[in-house]
Parts: sequence; C-alpha cells; structure tokens
Amino acid sequence: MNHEERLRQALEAQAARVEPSPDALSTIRGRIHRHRRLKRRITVSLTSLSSAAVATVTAVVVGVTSCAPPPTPTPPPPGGSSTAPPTTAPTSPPPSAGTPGTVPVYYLGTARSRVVLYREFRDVMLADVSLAGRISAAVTEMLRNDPLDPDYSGAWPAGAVVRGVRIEGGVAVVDLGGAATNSVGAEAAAMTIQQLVWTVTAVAADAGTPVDGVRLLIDGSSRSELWGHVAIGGVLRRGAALNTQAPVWLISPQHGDTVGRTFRVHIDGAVFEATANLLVRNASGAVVDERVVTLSNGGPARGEGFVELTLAPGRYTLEALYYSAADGSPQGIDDHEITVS
Amino acid sequence: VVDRPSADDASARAWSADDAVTALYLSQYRPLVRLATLLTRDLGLAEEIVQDCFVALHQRWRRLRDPEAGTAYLRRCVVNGSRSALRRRGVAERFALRTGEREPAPSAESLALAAGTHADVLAAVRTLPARQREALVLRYYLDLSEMQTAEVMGVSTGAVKSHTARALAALRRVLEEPGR
Repeated sequence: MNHEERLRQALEAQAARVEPSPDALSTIRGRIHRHRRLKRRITVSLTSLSSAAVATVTAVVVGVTSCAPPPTPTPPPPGGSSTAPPTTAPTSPPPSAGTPGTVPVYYLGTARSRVVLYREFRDVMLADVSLAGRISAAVTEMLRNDPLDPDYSGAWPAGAVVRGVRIEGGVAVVDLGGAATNSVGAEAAAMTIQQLVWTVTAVAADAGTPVDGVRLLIDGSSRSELWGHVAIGGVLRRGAALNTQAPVWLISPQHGDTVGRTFRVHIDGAVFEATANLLVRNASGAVVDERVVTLSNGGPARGEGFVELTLAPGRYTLEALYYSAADGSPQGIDDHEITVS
Repeated sequence: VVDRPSADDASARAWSADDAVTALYLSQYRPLVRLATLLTRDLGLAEEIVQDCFVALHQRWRRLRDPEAGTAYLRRCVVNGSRSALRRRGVAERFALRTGEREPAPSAESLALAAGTHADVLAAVRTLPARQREALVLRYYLDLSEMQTAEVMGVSTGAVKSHTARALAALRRVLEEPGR
C-alpha cells in the first residue's frame, strides 16, 4: 500500500473515533438567540430617539445590523429557561427611555495563559446622565456577559441585576441582585470582581469624576466573601494593571465594526520596548499587511499607538499582538473582525 | 467524506438563517468536528470552534444564501478557527513550560492512538508544520481538490501543491526510516 493510501486510511480511522456531543444544535441555537436579543434591543431603542440622536448612533447600529439577518421569530431552543424574553430589571429603564451614551465595559479574556481584562466601549441608553446613572448602565451592560468580541466573555450569573448605584465619599457603592451564587473557578471569580471594579472606575474616570474604589453590596447588604472564592469586604480597588489587564488591546475598530477604506487603528498595551505589532488578515486568513506599532510608553507602563490603514472593501481580521523577547513567539493576540465598506 | 446538503437549490434559496443552520448542522456538524479534531487534536476545542462557526454562519447567511457557499464558509471558518486556537494554545503551552507551571504530558488521545495500527502515520502527521498538516487533512481526509483546498486555506493552488508535496516527502522519510 502506498503512503498516500495509508495516510488516507489513517486520517479516516482517527476521524471515525471522534463522536461529537449529540445536543450541540441546541447550544448553537441558544447562542444565536442571545446574539439576536441584543440586536433587537438596540433596534427598539432606536425607534424612539429624536432624529438628531438617530443620526449620531446610526453609524454604529448599521455596523451591528448589516452583518446579520433581520430579526425573525425563532422557535425557542428546547428546555432553555435562559431564552425567556428579556424582562426589565428593577432599576433598569425600558430600553426606549433615556439618552444614548457610550460607556467603557471590561470583559474577561485570556492572554499568557491567564484570565485578563479587555475593554470595549458600549452604546447604552442612560436613564439618567449622572455618574451613578452611567455606572448603573455600564454595569447592567457588563452583567449581560455579551461582549462584541466573541473571544471575550463574562462570568456573571444569569439574572444578575443592578439594584442601585450611589456615590458616597468618593467611592461607588454598587448593589447587585441575583448575584449571590455563581459557579466559577477561583481565578475567574477574582477577575470577575476586578471586571466590576475596572468598569466602574473607568466610567467614573471617563466622566471626569474619578472614584477611589467600589463598595459591593449583594441584595442590599455588605458581605465579606462572595462565591466561596473572593473577599469583597471593604472598598475594592483596581488590581495592578500588569496583572489584570491584557498586555495588548486593540481598542478600535471594535469587533464587528464597519469602517471606511482609510481608517485609524488604535492599540494600547504594556509591552517590551514599546513595540506592538498589527497583522491584517483577509477573509480567508491570509496576512495582507503587517505593521510595527511603537507605543507612547514601554512596559511595564501602558502606552498607546495609532496606525492608519487603507484597505479594499471586504471583511478583515485585525490582530494586535507582540512578539516575545524571549523566543519570538506571538503573544497576547487581541483580534477583531471588521468590515471595510 | 463531507456530504453535500441534500436540499435542492430552489428550496435552499428560500432558507432563512435558522433553516440554514439546522440543515447544515445535520449534514456538516459531524464532519466539521472531525476536521477540527484532526487539526487541533482536542475534541472539546474542536466542538467550540465549529459551534462558533455556525453562530457566524447565521449572521452571514443573508450574503451566503446557498448551501454550497455555506459549506465552503464553514470549512474556511473551521480551518481559521483551528489555526488561531493552535496558535493560542502554543503560546499558552510555551509560557507554562517556561514558567514551570506544567510538564508536557501525552494526551489520553495520543496514548490511545499509540496502540492503533495507524500510529506511525498519525505521529508523523503531527510533527508536520501547521500548513502542511492542513493541506494533507483537506486533501486526504475531506478529499478536496487542490483548488478547493487553496480556497479553504486562503492560499494559491501553487502553495497547496508545495505544502502537500513537502508534507508527503516528510512522511515518506519518516515511514521509510531504516530500522522501522
């Protein structure tokens, strides 16, 4: 038997051992359904805006809806209690009320085999434009565990809601409901609390009113420990950026964005000798451009850098990363799929 | 090996994104998971990659529209997904080894394979560079043509020819080593 025939049979035999799980279709449908619910929420909120406000957010919403089919009724996945129609949280306003705003929200991701934080800017409806209102909207968005970039994730328990937010003596007091139990490991649990702290403090810094930290209440009362893993007594502060933040962020464009032919890429990171790299892949994964991006600071400090790209219309994946000084391997890849129109 | 979706073109053109996911799931899920497992050697990871691709297919269905294009899209997505998963895993493993967090251990799967009759061929395939392995799996497991393989891998047919030729030459060298 020749080698090609042996190869064919060996691959066939190895593949035949692989038996996928039988219920994957309902998993897939559940994920599609969650995606679509988010989209519908954005579409609904648009209909009640003034025309001026519509003009400012249309660009963003077009990016979301153009890559996906219009919402149509779906049969609910079997046995999915998580697929119930969205109910309004006690303190969150109906989606049509309020002012559109953009808030920073952190999500979990992995880099250097650790759980780290990545940031997205999310469009939300602000029921009230005070700092507490902005924090409430950002945390509500965070609790949905629904980042734009599918490489990121969230580990908040389903049904967690914001009961209230107030600012007391330079500290944000955040009261969560439905979050008393959660099945996550120790590392993800600790990073999930950091995710909350970084989100709240980033919203405050973004609004020009920095806060010192976060006091977390669960169902209205303070606790010393949460989920069997994390100490949450006292004022929670940001962990060291080097240990909590991803080494490289692709800040913009965000995952799923649609951009014009010439656009600016914004990278932020804490990397050796301030040198980050940007790879541009086309729809079939081939690298069509590669840039070295010098950031404003070298590690351990974070710096930022910008590159202008001009690409033909189409779908691309941008990858921000750095190459290990030790062995030249690619590290800390943050990739976003975008459409150039 | 991969079955063509059975619906004829006329009815397929009317598929909603939900219909497309269901129909392509029925015909393609298993072969795609097998493809991803051959590329990543990790069933759990393979299923995640393929499920991601079906979610992505749903979002793009309006532009793909026919089952052929959907199948081609899924294959490209699975090969790309496996490639980036391997890259990430390589990064994580090198880091873990460097920091002494973990010892390299043979996977349960590789132990099971060692007993199989195809162990030597599969072991040789595993030592190939990623692109060569992709080319072999697409050509010899999925039975794709050079042109189809080129499209899935996002490279020219010339590159597919050379990846395949180098991979086969490497296999031949390993399998014909004196003393085997």
